[in-house]
Amino acid sequence: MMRLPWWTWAWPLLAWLVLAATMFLGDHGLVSALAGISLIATVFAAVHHAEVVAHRVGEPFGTLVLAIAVTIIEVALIVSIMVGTATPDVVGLARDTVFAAVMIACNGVVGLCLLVGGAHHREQGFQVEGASAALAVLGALTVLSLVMPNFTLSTPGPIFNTAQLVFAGAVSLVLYGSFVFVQTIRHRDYFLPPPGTVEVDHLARRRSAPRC
Amino acid sequence: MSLVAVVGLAKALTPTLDAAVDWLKAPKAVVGIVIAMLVLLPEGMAAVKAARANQLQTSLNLALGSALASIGLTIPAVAAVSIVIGQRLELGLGFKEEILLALTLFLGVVTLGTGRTTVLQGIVHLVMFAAFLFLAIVP
Repeated sequence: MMRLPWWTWAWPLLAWLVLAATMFLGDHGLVSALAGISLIATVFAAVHHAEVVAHRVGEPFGTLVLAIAVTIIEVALIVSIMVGTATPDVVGLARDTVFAAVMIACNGVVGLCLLVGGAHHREQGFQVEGASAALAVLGALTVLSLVMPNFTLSTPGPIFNTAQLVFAGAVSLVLYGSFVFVQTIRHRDYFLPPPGTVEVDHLARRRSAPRC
Repeated sequence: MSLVAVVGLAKALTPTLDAAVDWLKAPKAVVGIVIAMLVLLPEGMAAVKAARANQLQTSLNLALGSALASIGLTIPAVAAVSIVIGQRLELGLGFKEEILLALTLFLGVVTLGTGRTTVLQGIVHLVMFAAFLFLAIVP
């Protein structure tokens, strides 16, 4: 096992302690704040663990492992809220979270990357084949699962019936599975840095940096 | 490995997060934004770091990859859960969100269509992001 920084173990441990504290002390403002902080830190620790695994399997599987790890945490959070409470508030939680994730990734993260990259390097290049493949899949996925329910006639309102849910789930898996297959095996080169740029793997660089 | 344990822990901490959001009386769509931000924060930071190091390809792989994984795997998972436990599941977006989504997809195709990007495209996307956040809090 590779040596891990202390905080990747310390934060989850602290989070467990805070969790135990919430059971005894109940909902207190301070306890909630502490729990929030340790939850954020624990997510960071989890993603760091995923990065270590990602590095071991190598690019381009690395970003895939990271994306899946992040999604597992997201699904765990959504499902536990869905199962835990039966209030009408939670029926749209999955949609709100997925939509927010798409907006944050495609506008927030992409925008910040282009801005920071543009400010430092004036003009930056990447492979159009990879980016447009990803956007095509994203367009199909988002419209089929998040817009289509509003227009289907089997159930009124923004809801799919059971058969449509099964279909939407299967379509999502086919689209995402095909994208992953293309990204990691069939057209790997579309997702590697374009020729002419210096190839520095951020995961590898992290490994070579001394561990604290 | 250790990831599984931490995922379980994140799940165990959820009631507290839920209670905290209730306590703040935030609109319910904000809960989704908080969850999405929480899980995307570490990856987003890695993406920005990569862009700074002139590795925009890695940034885009991370950003678009996490958006795809988020929707492509969450939808089947929650669909399965909702069928098993018989929970109602609303997936359709409101009109406002549909417009934001359509504009985001259109802009993504245009801004990432040439393979070369500058600060302008970044600012356009950030303005879209600000509009999304603002309109979520002030519907």
